[in-house]
Amino acid sequence: MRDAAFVVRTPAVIHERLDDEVIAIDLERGIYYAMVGSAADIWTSFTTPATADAVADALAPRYRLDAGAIRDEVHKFVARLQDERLLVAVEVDGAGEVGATIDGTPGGRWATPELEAYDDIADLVLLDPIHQVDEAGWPHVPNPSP
Amino acid sequence: MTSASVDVAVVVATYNSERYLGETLESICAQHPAPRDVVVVDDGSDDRTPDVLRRAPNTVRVLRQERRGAAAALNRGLDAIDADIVGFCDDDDLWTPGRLAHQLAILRDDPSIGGVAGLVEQFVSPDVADIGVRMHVDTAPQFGRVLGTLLVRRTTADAVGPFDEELDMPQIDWVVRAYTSGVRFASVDQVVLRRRIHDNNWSLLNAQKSQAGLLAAARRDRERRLRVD
Repeated sequence: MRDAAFVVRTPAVIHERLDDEVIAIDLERGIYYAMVGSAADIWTSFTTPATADAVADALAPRYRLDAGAIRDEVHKFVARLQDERLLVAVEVDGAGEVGATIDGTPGGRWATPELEAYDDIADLVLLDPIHQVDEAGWPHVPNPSP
Repeated sequence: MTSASVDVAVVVATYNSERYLGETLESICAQHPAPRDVVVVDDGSDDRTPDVLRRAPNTVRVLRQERRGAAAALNRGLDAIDADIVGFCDDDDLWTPGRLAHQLAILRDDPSIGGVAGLVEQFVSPDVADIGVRMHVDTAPQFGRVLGTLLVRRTTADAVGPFDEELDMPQIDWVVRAYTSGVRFASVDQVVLRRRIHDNNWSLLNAQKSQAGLLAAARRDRERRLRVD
């Protein structure tokens, strides 16, 4: 069975990576998440469509491991990200591998990827102007009256 | 300081808010008791904001500066006041009647409390009412720690430190820092701030700034958590 492809659920989810740490925010629920190390690398891989297997294959050499050694943990973490609706399933054309978007720098020591979740700033997120836009985009200024 | 005013200062940073600033200042100065000091830091407005400020009530002091951003303006305001208690308001929002008295009562009753929040109610500005049709504006009163809802002791503001002048939206970060500083906060169960929704604050550029501000605030919140744990 083909492994399903996933991608970060933008625009409802915003995210930023600084060095080894990713911060992601679900704008709909106000929850923010933190991921470091292996978790951050997995996340970054899904900023473009990818399958869990392809991500395991791409990340393993970065950690000087065989893909088999990390495959289960990658799948588990992807399932966790899906549960939190941080990733959404996508159709991928063709049978080609989807690439992971990690650069070649060494990944350090592999640790079981963890997803930290906090609701401390939920009210601030939910009140933020970024929410209050309709599907058509941003409101345009009404024509000024003459 | 008359008997009808209290040792409260309010800081308002403004930039090009000729349409709404007058109403904002009225809502603050009309409080019973009223704050004895209202400092407006005009962050380089080039519209009719200075005219609006000339007509403002007597308790309003105006500091002008070249445009340096909201954080610099708020910090300048904080530096210019000496009251024991500080409130804030965005230059387009409204303080609700009775709000100051209610929040003040909490601070007076319990010295261990360093700040008081309250509910915020969003409203579509009447002059741009057609936006309400095209936007999802939640107008139900809700708890949301917009800076303008907070009334804090001066000691709290000093403990939290200045607004971060490297951020475009420094208010969120300041509130997060305040709430993770160890200071005790209470809240009143009433609307203390009416937050105006209008076309100027919902631009794409503001959305991008908001996004960066939220991510920065989340990052800092987590950093502080890690230091504490």
